[in-house]
Amino acid sequence: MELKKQHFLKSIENSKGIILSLCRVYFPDSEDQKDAFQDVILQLWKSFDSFRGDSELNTWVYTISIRTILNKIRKLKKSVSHDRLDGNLAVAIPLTDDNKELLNIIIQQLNEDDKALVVLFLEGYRNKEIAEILEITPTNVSTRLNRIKSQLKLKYNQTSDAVRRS
Amino acid sequence: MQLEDLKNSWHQYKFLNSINRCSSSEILAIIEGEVDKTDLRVKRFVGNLVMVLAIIMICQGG
Repeated sequence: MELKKQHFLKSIENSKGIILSLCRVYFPDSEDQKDAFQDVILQLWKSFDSFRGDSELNTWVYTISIRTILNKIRKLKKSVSHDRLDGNLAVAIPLTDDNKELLNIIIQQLNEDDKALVVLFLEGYRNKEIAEILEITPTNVSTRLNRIKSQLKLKYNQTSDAVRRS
Repeated sequence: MQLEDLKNSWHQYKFLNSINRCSSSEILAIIEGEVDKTDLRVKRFVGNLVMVLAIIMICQGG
């Protein structure tokens, strides 16, 4: 096997979980997930030469993966009806803790740009880093995150009230 | 409930997905498929170029 391929496989070995998670967050259908996974791997491979280790490997993987997935969704939106992409298909999140339902709701209800924002926030990136990955301004990141947090609070309170009443 | 509270859930989710990860041979098949496609494109381009050059030479009486 070529040295470059070996190096690539070794580099992304521990990042497959990130790629697969992102594919599952954005695509409810397993065939679409596989498709997206292949696209992301190809893009990572194509841009592997440009990765010089200036940024952390995971940051590079997140950057390429999110950009590839968002581009794929934009292309799909041109050819597929909008309903299919934003429909309420259940995202199978194999979690066992109490936050499973909430994470599920968030992932289903956010638009594709906000999903990326929330995922990067949950990953622990700071606003400046998120801004660089998503190619937006840190102010924009902060504003959008605050809006999402307020929405989340509201939704959670409504859900809690409904549970208490039943 | 804060968004921060979901950080653990996200890490758990990522961990579970990393268990079901695909093998290195599958990754290799994906990138080698692309390398083959690129080779094919180059071969087609060279073939077409040779054809065009041959036609130009014939048309010029060479």
